[in-house]
Amino acid sequence: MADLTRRGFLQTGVATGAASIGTITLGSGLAAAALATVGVTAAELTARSNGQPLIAYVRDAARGEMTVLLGHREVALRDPDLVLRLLKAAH
Amino acid sequence: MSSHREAPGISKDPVADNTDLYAFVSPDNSGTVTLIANYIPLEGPDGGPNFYEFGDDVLYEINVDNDGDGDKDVSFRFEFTTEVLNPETFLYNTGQITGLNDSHFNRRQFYTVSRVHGDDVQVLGSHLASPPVNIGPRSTPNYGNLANAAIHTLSGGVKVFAGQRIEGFYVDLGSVFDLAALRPFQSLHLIHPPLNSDGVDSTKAVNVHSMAIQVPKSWLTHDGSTPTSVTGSNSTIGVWAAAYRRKSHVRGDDIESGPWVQVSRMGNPLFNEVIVPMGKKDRWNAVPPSEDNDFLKYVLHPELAGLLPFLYPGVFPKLAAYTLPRGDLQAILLTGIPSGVVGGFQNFTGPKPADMLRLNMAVPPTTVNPNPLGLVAGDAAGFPNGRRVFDDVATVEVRAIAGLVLPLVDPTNFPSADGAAALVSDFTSAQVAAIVGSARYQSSFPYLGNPKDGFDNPS
Repeated sequence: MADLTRRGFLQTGVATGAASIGTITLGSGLAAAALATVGVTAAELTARSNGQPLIAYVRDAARGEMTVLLGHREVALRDPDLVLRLLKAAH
Repeated sequence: MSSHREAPGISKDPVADNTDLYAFVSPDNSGTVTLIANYIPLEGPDGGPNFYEFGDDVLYEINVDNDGDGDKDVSFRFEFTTEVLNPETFLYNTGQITGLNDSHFNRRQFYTVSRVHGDDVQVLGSHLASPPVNIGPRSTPNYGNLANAAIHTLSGGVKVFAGQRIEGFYVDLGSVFDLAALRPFQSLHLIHPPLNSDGVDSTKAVNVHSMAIQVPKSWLTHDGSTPTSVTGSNSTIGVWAAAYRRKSHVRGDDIESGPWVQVSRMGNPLFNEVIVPMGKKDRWNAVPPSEDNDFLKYVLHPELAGLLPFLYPGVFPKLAAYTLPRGDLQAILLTGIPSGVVGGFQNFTGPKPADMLRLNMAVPPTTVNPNPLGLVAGDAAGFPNGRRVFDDVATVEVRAIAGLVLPLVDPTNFPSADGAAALVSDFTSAQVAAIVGSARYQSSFPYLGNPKDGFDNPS
């Protein structure tokens, strides 16, 4: 029986996304190297995310305020440095 | 309408749009209370091939406040999943559906219903089947049998149903939205057609999706007791329904994340629709009743009370002259009615203003000739003491706004209401009697009648 719930799609989407990232990693090898430079492994990152996508948005750039969503959690934080890095990445 | 498409934001999200809420002592099981929340406004019975269904991505709750603070103390939570037997067909049903397990019933919904106290979530039932929609005599013959099979009896005698029902709320939509014209009185309107006429029952052939649950009264009180005294501190509860979506939805990747965020709610019928101004309706849908002090001024000085004397010149002179805050509406909609206003009755939950349907559970159900005008007609088992499926809430609220019960609350400054306040309605009394006596309602759970089928409706 096909599970066509949005949650079902979510799980499918996560799996598909993970596969895509894996393909990029294998193709370039750069991601693993980048992880090594900050002293973290892919397994640790996966564990921290609980296998779920993390969504972050900058709520007020001038104040360095952002919101992070993971699973059912919502965390508001103020981190001008991180906001700057995200803004640079977006351009 | 009652709360159908009542705010700009939620009108674009029908599966999360709470259209009606009912709370009443079950007439055939007076130790219990039945709570019903309806969603999806104005379902055309023929609306295929993707017929109406609950949202798998929506969290639905019927909330109960039993200590007067406007925050939920007990909730009944419904979560849905959709399963498709054969995704390689476009058909909702691949043949005649004669049972809930019929292999021709291709697209099915199941749900989990839970009782929630704070962080404590008690699953009452899971993978409970919803019936199919009522497609027509070829696809869904013996629809009553299908629907009855979807009434689930759970532990403790709790009954639950989630599925399509006929719309129980009756109103003359085309009339009331045409500058508050009431056809039986339209000759008195500022812009008047020549003759009065009967109202048009706009919702007689549309459906909704209902979640109904029947639970012991003791599940709803703050002390776990069964209320027996109308004046008891445990007798009155406040009820509202709400729908929630995840905070974030990334389109394309179809990712949802973050906490549940309230997108719709409903307590008293017509509150957000008629009382709250357009610019604040979406915000009202996003906050709990405990924040309704922000909307108090719209209850105390309702826009419609100013419009009635203007649109019906000379008909409401006493209402036009009354400029004080409307304590009567504050009691009906935001605090409940204190003792001493209506003899032998109260459903006061305290001074905290909160739009909730207040039900004094110690008032016994009226089992013989219940009056659809409820409390104002002497039937204390009806609206605004909770709300039964057949209550004529549009008439009750229009008459209340017109000042019918204001003399009870402010006899000094408003000793008597305009004569028209006891008469205004969008239907004649004969029409209402015919509606109330129709198959729109049934005498047992889930009390709303079987939905109209799509082959015969519209006709």
